[in-house]
Amino acid sequence: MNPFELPGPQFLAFYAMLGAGVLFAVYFLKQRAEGGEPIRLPSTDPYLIAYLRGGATEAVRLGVAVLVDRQLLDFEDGVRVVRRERVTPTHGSNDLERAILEQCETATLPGSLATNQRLQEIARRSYEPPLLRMRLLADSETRLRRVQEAGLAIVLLFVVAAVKVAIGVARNRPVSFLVLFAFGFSALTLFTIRGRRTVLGERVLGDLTMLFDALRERANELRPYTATGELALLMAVFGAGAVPIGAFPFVRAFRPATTNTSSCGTSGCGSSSGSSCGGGGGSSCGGGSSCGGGGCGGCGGS
Amino acid sequence: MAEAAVAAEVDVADAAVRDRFGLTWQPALAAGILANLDRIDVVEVIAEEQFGASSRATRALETLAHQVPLLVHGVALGPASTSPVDVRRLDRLARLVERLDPAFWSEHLACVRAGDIEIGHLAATPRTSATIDATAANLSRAAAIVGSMPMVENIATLMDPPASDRSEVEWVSSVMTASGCDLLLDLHNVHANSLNFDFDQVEYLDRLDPERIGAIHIAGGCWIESPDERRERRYLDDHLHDVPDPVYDLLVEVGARVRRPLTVLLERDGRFPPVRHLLWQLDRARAALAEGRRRVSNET
Repeated sequence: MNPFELPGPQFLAFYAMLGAGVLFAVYFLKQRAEGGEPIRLPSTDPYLIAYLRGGATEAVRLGVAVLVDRQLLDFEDGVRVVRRERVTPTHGSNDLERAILEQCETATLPGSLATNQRLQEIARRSYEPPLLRMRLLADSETRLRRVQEAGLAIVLLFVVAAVKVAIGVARNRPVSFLVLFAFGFSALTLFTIRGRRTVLGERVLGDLTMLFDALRERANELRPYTATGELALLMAVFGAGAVPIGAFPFVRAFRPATTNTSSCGTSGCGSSSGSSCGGGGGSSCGGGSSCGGGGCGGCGGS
Repeated sequence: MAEAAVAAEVDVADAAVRDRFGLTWQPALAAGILANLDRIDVVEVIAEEQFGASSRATRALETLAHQVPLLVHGVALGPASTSPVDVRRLDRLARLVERLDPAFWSEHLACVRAGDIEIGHLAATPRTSATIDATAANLSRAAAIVGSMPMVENIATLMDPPASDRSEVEWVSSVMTASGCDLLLDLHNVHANSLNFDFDQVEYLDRLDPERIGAIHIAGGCWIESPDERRERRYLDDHLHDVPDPVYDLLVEVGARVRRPLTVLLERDGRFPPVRHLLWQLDRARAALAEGRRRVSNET
């Protein structure tokens, strides 16, 4: 049976199935080419995770947060960050931290640090190559393959649609729905191949999010200057929105403007409780850490 | 003679190099664990906590297994029973072990159910030859389904199981012999039982075959009022407190007896202190085991 001889509605149904099949094929090829077994992250470096999640901007933000928490940067007048006295760039533990310390010789807005081209370039140079080597970010070859596969899919969709449109026009039939379908499925195909991360990168990031989920819940228990490693991982995996503003006021600069003005915005509610905790130091929330899980310890005997 | 001494010293040094120290996986400690993998060699995952987990959660554990070696620890199989172990549980355990590929898996020498009724507790089983044979049979069945022998862990108990005709250490040793399983020696359980039942904990160690000890648990506990009117109070192994000093002393003794590399795990189930405090306890454990190993080396 020649599908091009199908009447309009039946052909649209056929075309929808073809489009779904093409989409599935593109998705399947992407999964097959970019998936695989999870890999070992080198030393679970929070900078790598931050770069994987949000690129150079997130890595720089993390660097600023880590340096403030390590008391190498001072959060001056609650707005700008500046290098503390007797601190030199060599106190940074990696190229990015050293560059941020250099940049902060004079008081600087954290937001402008995050978008600073030089810092972004250093972050890119430091973290993109290992992530590409680990196949967590899409390299040029991967992007080319994606474009080729999507291109073939779109050509197929448009050729089939064009033949039927030509037939329909010759027979004086309406073709607008078919044209819409062709563009719709092409857009979905492009949507399927989008993303700077590979399938494996998405998986690793999703798995880290899952593993650290409990940390997000107890973020309010984090105290400044005592657990920089945990703060760094929290911010690397979930972003500044997960860090309580009360205890870490400098992260306010990295949050969307809408949450800056309120202590109880979309992400601010968590922070507002964090605010009372952090500000209170040994407040009742602090006791929360000593009321923890319980688990099956009480059963004894294990 | 001198060659033997050097060989012994090399053995001890080699084992010390390969000793591993770790923590029980707790989601609340995730960041602390992953931020300190330079000081944590191994992580223990509680099997039953994963049985009801989503596939995404189990997949996340697979990713964790690529960052740090995992061990699977069961708490509800209950092989120390004359009833056969539940095959469905073993199937789930086998699937988990297959996915996480742990260095070894372990289970308690405890009874956890009677008929279809779950006790919700790791209960000590009567220490008789009948329970030794039944436990060995259960462990053999578990090994056949899971694909590897478990390490078996001695438990803490608040009451001496009735109808027993031998001591705890005799029973544990007999189970090890009958089943072929190595021992995951929980030093805090030994400590707790020694306080509750007045025995010498070092003597307990002396009566175990040191070559069959493959791993160590350390933990903390607290005194509680006893329901038994004859005693004022009992010591509870609750995993909510710091490791007490006598447990480190016992670890020194273990280091002086066991030549093979050991995996030492700190169990903490709640009231979590900052991770650096847990790491400090792990460092103390490292130092204690090393001290024991040095003692052997010096004596040789």
